[in-house]
Amino acid sequence: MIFRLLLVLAVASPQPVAEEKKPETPQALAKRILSSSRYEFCHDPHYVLRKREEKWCSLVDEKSDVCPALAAACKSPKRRADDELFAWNSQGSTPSKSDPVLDPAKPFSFHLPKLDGLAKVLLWALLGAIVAAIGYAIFKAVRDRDKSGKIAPTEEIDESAADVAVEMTRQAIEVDVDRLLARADEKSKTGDYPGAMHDVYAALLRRLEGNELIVVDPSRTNGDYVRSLGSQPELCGRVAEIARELEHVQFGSLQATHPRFDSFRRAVLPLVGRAATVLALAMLVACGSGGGGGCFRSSVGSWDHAPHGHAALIELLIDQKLNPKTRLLPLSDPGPTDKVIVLLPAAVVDQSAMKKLIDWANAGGRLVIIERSVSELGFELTTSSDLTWSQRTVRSPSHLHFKETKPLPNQWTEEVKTPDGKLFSFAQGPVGQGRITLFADGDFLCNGGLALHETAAYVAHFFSQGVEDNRSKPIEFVTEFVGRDAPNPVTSVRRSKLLPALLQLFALIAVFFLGRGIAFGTLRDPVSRLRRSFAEHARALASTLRRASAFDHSLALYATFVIERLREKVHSQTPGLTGLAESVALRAGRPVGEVMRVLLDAQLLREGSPLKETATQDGAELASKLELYLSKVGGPL
Amino acid sequence: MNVEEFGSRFARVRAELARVLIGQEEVIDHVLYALLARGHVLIEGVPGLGKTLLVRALGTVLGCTFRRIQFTPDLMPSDVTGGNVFNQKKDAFEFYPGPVFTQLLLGDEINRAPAKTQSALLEAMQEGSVTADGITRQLPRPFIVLATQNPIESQGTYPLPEAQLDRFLFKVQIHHPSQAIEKLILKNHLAGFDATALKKFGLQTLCNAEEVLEMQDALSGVQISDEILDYITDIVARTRAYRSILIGASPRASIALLNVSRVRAAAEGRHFVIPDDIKMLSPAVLRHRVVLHPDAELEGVSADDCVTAILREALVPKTIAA
Repeated sequence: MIFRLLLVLAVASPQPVAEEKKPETPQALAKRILSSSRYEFCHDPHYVLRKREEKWCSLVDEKSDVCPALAAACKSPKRRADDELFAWNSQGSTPSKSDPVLDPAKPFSFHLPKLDGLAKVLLWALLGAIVAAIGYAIFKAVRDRDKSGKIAPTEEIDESAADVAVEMTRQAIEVDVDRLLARADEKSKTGDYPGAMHDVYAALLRRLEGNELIVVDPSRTNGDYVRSLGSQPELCGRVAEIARELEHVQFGSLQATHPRFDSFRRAVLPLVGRAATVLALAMLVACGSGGGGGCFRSSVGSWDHAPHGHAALIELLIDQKLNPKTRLLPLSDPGPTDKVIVLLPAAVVDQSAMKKLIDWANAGGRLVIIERSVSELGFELTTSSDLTWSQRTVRSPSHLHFKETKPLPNQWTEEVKTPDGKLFSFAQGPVGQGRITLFADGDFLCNGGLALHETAAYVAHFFSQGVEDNRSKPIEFVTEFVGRDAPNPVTSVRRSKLLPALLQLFALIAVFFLGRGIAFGTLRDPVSRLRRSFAEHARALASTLRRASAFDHSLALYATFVIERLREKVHSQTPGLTGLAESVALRAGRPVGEVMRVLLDAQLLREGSPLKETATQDGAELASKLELYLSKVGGPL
Repeated sequence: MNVEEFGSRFARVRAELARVLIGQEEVIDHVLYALLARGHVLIEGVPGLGKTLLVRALGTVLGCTFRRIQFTPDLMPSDVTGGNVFNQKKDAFEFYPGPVFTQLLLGDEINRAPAKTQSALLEAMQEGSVTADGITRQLPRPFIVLATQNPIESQGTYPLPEAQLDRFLFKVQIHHPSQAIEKLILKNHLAGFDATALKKFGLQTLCNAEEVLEMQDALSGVQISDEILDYITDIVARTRAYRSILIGASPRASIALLNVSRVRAAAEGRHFVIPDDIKMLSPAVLRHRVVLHPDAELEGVSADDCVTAILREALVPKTIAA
């Protein structure tokens, strides 16, 4: 991409006429493409080649500047045999026993430490405790939820009134756009068109609120909402029209009918569903960028940059102004014949699909079959150990050839034959109105193959031949993914081996739902927090006073409280403390002098004097005596 | 006349007035609403903001007569209403009509006259007639009083009594124009605008008094639903219960809101009143009809604050809940 940008800039900048740039040769193009750091095997001498990628090592030129690091990577001792991980892509490659296996991957396994006696018991006890703790946490969450759900008014209420209240609440708090639209549809079915229009309009307002364009409030008029949209004249005008029509129904003489509701809904939906429309368009663009009758990908990013991948091939063809794509649709319907279909070795093609492809070629299509026996045409794929590869224009390390199983038609040509003429690696000829080309070996089309000497030039020439008349004609590459679409979700999950992950996900969702998952289930009011008890408030206040070192202040408050409560308890109406002290002393069985002294201290504190100025001078003692008197005369309440 | 014709004529008059009263669209709207709702307007604003120009332009565009009274402390009631004067030739008393006998009356600085003189306008504003020496004389129709008062000078003024305030349909506050608007005003003057020669400026007479009356009569075709009536009464009732308001608005306020909302609806070409009409007009209708609690006044709470708060609390009919 960056290179293209630079190229564009270079073209845009003024250049002397004499220095007109010559067209880039395919070899130079391949060199430029592979110079990208994404093709790591061409730049990292320590690149770890897979076993099936090592076959290029016998062909690579150490002095090659197209892929300079490949030769070093071939000599790297860290190669490993992990082809079994990629067996799905290994058709046509036959691993040899002589291949070096330096670091076979070990299967993952987990073993508990070997412990004896008490340690083993403790370990199992620990594991059991963990499991029990998890179970208890789940149980507790469920139990708490049940408890909170059981909080209900004790008094009996009229169920119908409760239903009405619930329905009113639902009507009042409904904020979901989709549910509002659904509710509008339901109302329209019952003939409540004014209500339906109201709900559609509510959906519009909620959408605008969701987009932070307005703030919905029951004290705001439609005019307020329209004025809030003043910064967007087009939207403002459309909302004003919609609001006016609704108001005409609500406050004017306009009758709400089904056609009117439909037209109103049609006017609102584009505004409500704008986000959904944008998303759908984005998906459409993303999916249909290839045009034509199907969903294809032409992005290079979707191809593999490893030596056995095809990213470089795609880049090469794009730079040649060709139109390569990945075919994702099944081969049961090849589509129009105005294109080239290339069956890569990994593509899964059954006999019926192959027959349809040949029929398609007969009808005028151009079919390229790579590394595949085609019994319908009389070819069988075989391996040859012939070393004449070195003399070929196209180098490929797999040594694959075709062998005729029945005579070919006259118009067919066979090329790159073995010296005995029995085997060949390339054949092509007309079938009906179309044409079929067969390649015995597909490795030359891979990234690694393009790094070899003249392959890039040959590939560019070959694919250009098929589309001379129209270079925008699609060249559809059929990979291993075509036709593998699952008929149902279960098959899809099974093929993708995602069942354990999905089960874990579902389990997680279930646990979350049991604990907190209000949003997952039926809408209900959030659990209201219980009121804090008065004791908690008192403790919090005491804590605050303690932090503020406000002992005198809190003692003064307590003294005030006790004096007032004592007056209430003994019904003392006299303003002074003498009568109160006598009454309290009589009930508490304490000397009047002592009671008088304590009450006097409490009164001093009440009036704001510090504790040190009192006779007691001990706050704790004073408080305990006040508490004693209060309890003796009947308690604090 | 139907509502559509009403709307188009209203728009033309409004646009014509806006040519000379630049940047005062809200005042123009309120004055036209009041005129068509058979009400009167109290304009509060400092001198020099175009109040006299407004009345002149209004008279010119509507083809109505207009007079101006400068209220002063020594102004007598008969100076407003007119009175009987002895005609020696005829040997009889003849009634000489005062300036109130006009269609558009500008009472400038009405709070400078004593209550007795201010009250001389009461009958004229409410009944559209003047009684002198036991004889009642009808004022020409349409009749609208545009009274002004200066909000900043309190010495030597007589605040309008509540009974008279209640007779004003609107109390409109007129503020200084923005710098950009003031520049446009200056350019207008550079172009030869003269406030005393509006015809020369090209201000057109778009209708006459009969057509104005026709517009007033056309309002009966504007519907008001029960929900709108509930909304009006809810707002007015809330002024009587609001904590910062000592005396709330009277039923006359509800009637005023009802009438003027129909004008606004017709001016926008609608056959029906919507909640937005009520909400937009409530401040101008209610702000001079409520008496604030002394504590609220000390705290700096204004009538507009109270009305705004009330409108925030009142539920709009058939709206969606928050």
